Amino acid sequence: MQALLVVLLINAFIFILCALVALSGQFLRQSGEADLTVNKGVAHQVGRGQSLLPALAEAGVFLPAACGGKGTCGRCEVKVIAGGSAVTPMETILLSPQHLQALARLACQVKIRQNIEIEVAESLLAAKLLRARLESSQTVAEDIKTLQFSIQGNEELVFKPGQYLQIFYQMPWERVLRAYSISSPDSVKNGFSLDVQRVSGGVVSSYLHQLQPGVELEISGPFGEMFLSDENAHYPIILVAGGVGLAPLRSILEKLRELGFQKPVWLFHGARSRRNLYCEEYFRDLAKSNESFRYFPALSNPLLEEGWVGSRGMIHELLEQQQFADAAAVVAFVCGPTPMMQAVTKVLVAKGVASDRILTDPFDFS
Amino acid sequence: METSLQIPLLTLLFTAAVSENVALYYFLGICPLISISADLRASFNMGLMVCVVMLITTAANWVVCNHLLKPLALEYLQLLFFVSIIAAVVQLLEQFLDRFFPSIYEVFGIFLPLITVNCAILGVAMFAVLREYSLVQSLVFAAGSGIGWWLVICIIASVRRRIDLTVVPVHLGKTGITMLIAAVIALAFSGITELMGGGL
Repeated sequence: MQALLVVLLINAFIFILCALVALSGQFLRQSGEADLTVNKGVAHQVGRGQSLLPALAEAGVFLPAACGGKGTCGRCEVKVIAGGSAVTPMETILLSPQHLQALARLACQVKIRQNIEIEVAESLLAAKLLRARLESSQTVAEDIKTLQFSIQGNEELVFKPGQYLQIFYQMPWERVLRAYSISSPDSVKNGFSLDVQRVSGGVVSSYLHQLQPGVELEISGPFGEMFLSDENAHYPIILVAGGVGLAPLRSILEKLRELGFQKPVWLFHGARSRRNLYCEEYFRDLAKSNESFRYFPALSNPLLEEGWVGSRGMIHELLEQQQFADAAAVVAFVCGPTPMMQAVTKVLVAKGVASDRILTDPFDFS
Repeated sequence: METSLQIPLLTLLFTAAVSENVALYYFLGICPLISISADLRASFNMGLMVCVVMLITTAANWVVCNHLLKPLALEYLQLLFFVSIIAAVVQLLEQFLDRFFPSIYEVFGIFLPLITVNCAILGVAMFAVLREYSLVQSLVFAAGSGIGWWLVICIIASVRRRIDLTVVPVHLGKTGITMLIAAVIALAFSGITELMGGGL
């Protein structure tokens, strides 16, 4: 009896506290609307008291936010011209003092209290909120699936090869966002494919892996600064991928194939063992039929039973052994885990590739 | 420690702030002390906020303990109740500042929610109950402890500014040197107590 009473008392007490907090939240919440001006355009009416990131979504501007607005990924960078709140400690970690001086802010950390004027990179305004339907799902390597989606509702996804998009996933208590690179070429506009690696403990990757065809998802995009521009397509190109970092480079490679490989293209793909290497056959065939395309896979830990006779070691070591004629003209695309990208960048610079012509896209498992 | 109800309030304040400093004597609230003291401004804000929250929560916890838990002989639930009260008070304070004092709210930013898990706050509330202080004594004790913690984090942050310009042995690292600084300051604090005649 006593125990029951105690449990009741605790529950009642915590309930009262929660009610108090919730009530005061209702009572104290900032109400009213404020004007949000993006790139000197028309002012949008958005609710006060929220952060800039959801307010921008309200106004139809979808910024990348791989962390879901927690202020940890630093991708939702905007320029706040007027009316921003004070810089938060999270921002001082992710943005350099020079950046902050140039009015850069993270949209998820800016709170709307008054009329606010911001500037967003033009390329981000192209991002749209779309619905995509899973058409097929194919296992291409251990823990890696290629998922084929089609865009719903007469919409098109216009992107540049190498860009990524975000997938929304509704968990019972929150909505999470994850970024995935598009692996299909940009010539296909009514659909796209993603290469998804299952990460142990990864909520979204596990969800995507068990997804059945026919399911619809909400996506936003395209995003990303690493892409093949029309100009770059006319230079010799080095593509370096680590594991599933191959995804955006596949899109770039397909585009180059469509253009007929006008200049030499080298593809370096590093994986742990053969079971982690994917699209190997396809690339080998492609290299056989095209003289200007060369394919270099390397395995860091090949298994004995796989009978691997190719290169062993880390991908930057293999890269180091190669000679590139006209290295100064080369444009390089590197995608993989951060340490791998750092090592590769170092090797490329040593080979004579200009550092501003090395384009990278880090992928962090989260 | 005395449990007498007759301690002069000024003595209580001084004891809590200096000679039995919550951070240096009881080792409470050490994690923010070490992580946040890297920046003096942030330390100042954090210390101020700890002071305010400590005062409010100690009072609230004292009332709940003496007028709810003790009459029902449920003192063993102290911890559960105190933690919930601290969390709720921090939440309420956050909402209040956000609404009425946005500039202050922005200055504190992330530090306010961090206070929820500051064990110094819980420790002071529990000490106040354990030592059977009256409400006024509890408030004075909380104020003293808060000021003491504030003082210590500001001193450590000030010293660390100098440390940034010196060469610290690599294996000591930032945390190690901060612990050493804290130890030296603790010595200084006990020295002050002796200067004042000791045995406070």
